[in-house]
Amino acid sequence: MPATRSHEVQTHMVQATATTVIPENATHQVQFYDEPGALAASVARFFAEGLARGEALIVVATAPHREAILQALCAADARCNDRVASGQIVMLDAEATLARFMTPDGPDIVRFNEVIGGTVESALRNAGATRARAYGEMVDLLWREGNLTSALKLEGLWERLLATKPVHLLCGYGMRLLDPRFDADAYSRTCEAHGHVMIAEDRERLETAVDRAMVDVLGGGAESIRPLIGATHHPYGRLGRAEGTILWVRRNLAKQGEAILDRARQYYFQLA
Amino acid sequence: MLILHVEDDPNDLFFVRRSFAQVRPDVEITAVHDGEQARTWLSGITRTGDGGHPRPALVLMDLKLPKLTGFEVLEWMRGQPGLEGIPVVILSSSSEPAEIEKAYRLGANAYLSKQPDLSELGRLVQGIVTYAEAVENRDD
Repeated sequence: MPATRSHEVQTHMVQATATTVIPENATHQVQFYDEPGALAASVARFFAEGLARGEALIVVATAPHREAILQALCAADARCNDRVASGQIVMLDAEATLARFMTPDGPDIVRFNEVIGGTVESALRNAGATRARAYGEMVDLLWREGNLTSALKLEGLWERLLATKPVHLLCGYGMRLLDPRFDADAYSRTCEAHGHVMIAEDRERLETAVDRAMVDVLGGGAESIRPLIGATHHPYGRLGRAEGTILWVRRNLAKQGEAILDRARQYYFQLA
Repeated sequence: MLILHVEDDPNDLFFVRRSFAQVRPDVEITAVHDGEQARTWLSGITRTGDGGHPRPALVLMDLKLPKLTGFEVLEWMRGQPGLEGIPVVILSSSSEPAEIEKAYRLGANAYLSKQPDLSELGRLVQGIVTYAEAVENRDD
């Protein structure tokens, strides 16, 4: 992770409309998601902005996610299938692509540059574009295998590629903040590896669930403790309110924290 | 409830103490003025009240302190049996990411910026007390 990027993590709120507020200089973002449907909608909006600018699009995802993303993209773009046929939109399987540059020691930089760098160049050429957008979840595959070291190494390889290619990258991680097995340390290291963190699509539901759970467990204390949580600097930059609260509770309130997260999970699913 | 406040700036000491007095007058605040004093005071904690200090529910600490920095006190605390579980809230004028990262790495529970706004300080003080109470309940 380049030192210059390590503290640039900023909260990025995805708006419900097609207009996003992705900073112009953002080139490496991360989206944590709970549900594939929300992920597909978010990635489709990210790509729709690219299409409006004539950019090439690259998807490196699992088969169900590729299908969901393409479906969401085609719902908003009548020429979507033509763009796939022409090579402006490139769809790659995450597992098969990863296998092309993984070694027992982790991702190999030379092979990565050949495979991913080559894909970017050909997508740009096919689209006649000067910029590309990519969505990738190879890092998520590694993360799910428990291979965080290789996932972070792969993020580093992407960073080096982004320094030389005109690509705006969005990485998707299926990390569930409310999951009892959630690894806060891994989450923070993943945030640090990216320039910008996109807040979950269903943030209002998450916020409501967490707020209700805090009141259930802490009673009137929930209202008192909220300003403290809101004012706390996180070790990896600013986060959304619900995300910040969940991480704060996990770090600081062991016993009540479990009860809060348990109730938040119940509310979150009830509100779906 | 007792809170140890480690701070060398007289103005900050005054405003924090006043906020506690306004928001939660039942909370006792003990202040020490440098890192060495903090370490000495914390070394004197006893559970039985046999002449030592009672255990604070929380330590509220600045980072830029004479003699020993807040970082050094924090690192020392986290290595001391009996002190490692006391919540430490950093209240610093610095919001440098490197300092924030270091404080968390050494075991801080929360990192706050010093507040010029006294009403905001009052809200934070109320939150700090609620947090300390929640941790005390957890230990029961």
